[in-house]
Amino acid sequence: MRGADIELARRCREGEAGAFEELYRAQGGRLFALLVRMMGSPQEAEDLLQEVFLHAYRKIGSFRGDSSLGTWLYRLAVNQCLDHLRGRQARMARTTDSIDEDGAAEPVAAAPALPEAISRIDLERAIAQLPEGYRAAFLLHDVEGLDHHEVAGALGISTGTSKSQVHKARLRLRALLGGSTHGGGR
Amino acid sequence: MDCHEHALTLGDLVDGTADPGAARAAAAHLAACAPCRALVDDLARLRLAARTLETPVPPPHAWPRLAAALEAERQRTSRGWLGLGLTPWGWMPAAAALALIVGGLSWVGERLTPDTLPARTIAGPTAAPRGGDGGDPEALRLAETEFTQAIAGLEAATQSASTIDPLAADDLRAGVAAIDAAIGESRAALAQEPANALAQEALLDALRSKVALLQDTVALIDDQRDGPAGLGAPDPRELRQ
Repeated sequence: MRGADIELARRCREGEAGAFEELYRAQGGRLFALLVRMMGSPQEAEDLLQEVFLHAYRKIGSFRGDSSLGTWLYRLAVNQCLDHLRGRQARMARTTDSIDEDGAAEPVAAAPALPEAISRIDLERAIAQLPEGYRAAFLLHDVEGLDHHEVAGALGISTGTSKSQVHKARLRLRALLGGSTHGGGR
Repeated sequence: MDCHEHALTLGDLVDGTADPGAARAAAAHLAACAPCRALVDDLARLRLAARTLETPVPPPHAWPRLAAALEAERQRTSRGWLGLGLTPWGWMPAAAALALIVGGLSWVGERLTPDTLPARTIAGPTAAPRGGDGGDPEALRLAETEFTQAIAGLEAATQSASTIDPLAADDLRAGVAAIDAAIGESRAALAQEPANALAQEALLDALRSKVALLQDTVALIDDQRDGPAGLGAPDPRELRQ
């Protein structure tokens, strides 16, 4: 698989006709899904998708195959998202949960459990309320199915931080969806 | 028992990635901690729900729009390399090719008749005596003066050539040296026969080539000065169909 990625990157780098479209067809859908949920708007996601692939076009020469092309593109996409979001929100309160911040333990409370059926709409809304760092890690791991090593590569963090971010995102979602957080120590 | 101590392991349990030792310890904790059991149950359902979320798909026009933006980018980045149509990372072979092309000009120039000399469109001096009977030496002198002044201005503009990669700069210098050699040979021939039309054309073509090369060099320096970030993507909103 990694060999196929290196070969596709080489074809893109050499300007082979159709190679970049092949890359787009293989990765564009997954990136778009991530971008929609990160940005909260399909229109903004489409604009960012353009920027991500243009950035990839300029930088494909730097791809060495240390990670998969998908992970490499995820990293470009997340960086673009965070740049845009941070510019847009100008460090509003909820952005204070930076991607590298381990943060304090989640509060403990007697927890009403999640509702029996988790509505997709409610879950989408709750994901949109996550701090960016938690949201990126959760989307990559729980929605897109990357393992923590891949998430770490895409976000430029350690595997341990990835686990921590995903766990905190889940606790926050549980709280937002009607339950409450638990597991912060007692 | 400290629930926090097992927090990340509970996450690993949900993912099925906990190592056996940690899993055994967490299981022992779960057996005695109803809130943590409820938490694990919730996290597992949350994870399952996340996996079943619908996947948004890009609109059909996204690829044509991106393809247009990529083409615009390709053209913009190749402009500084004499329109060779190279990708941004392809400049090194381009520099070598440029040196070969320019280096061959003096050789080619000696073998082509004035009417078949390659015409290069340049925004520089255009005066040039033509004619099989030989041009007016005075007209040639005026044209040469114009070219020389244009070259001096362009050479001043290329003094920042240190912004070009050293290898590319070497190749460009080699190209200029080859043209200078051709200019020197033509001038030597004209010193012997001032009305020699072939020598006049060879001189003027060499001067035109030098102007064109220096113009391309200035364009390249401008592009390099802008840097990768300066390659700025077109505003996607402008490209939207």
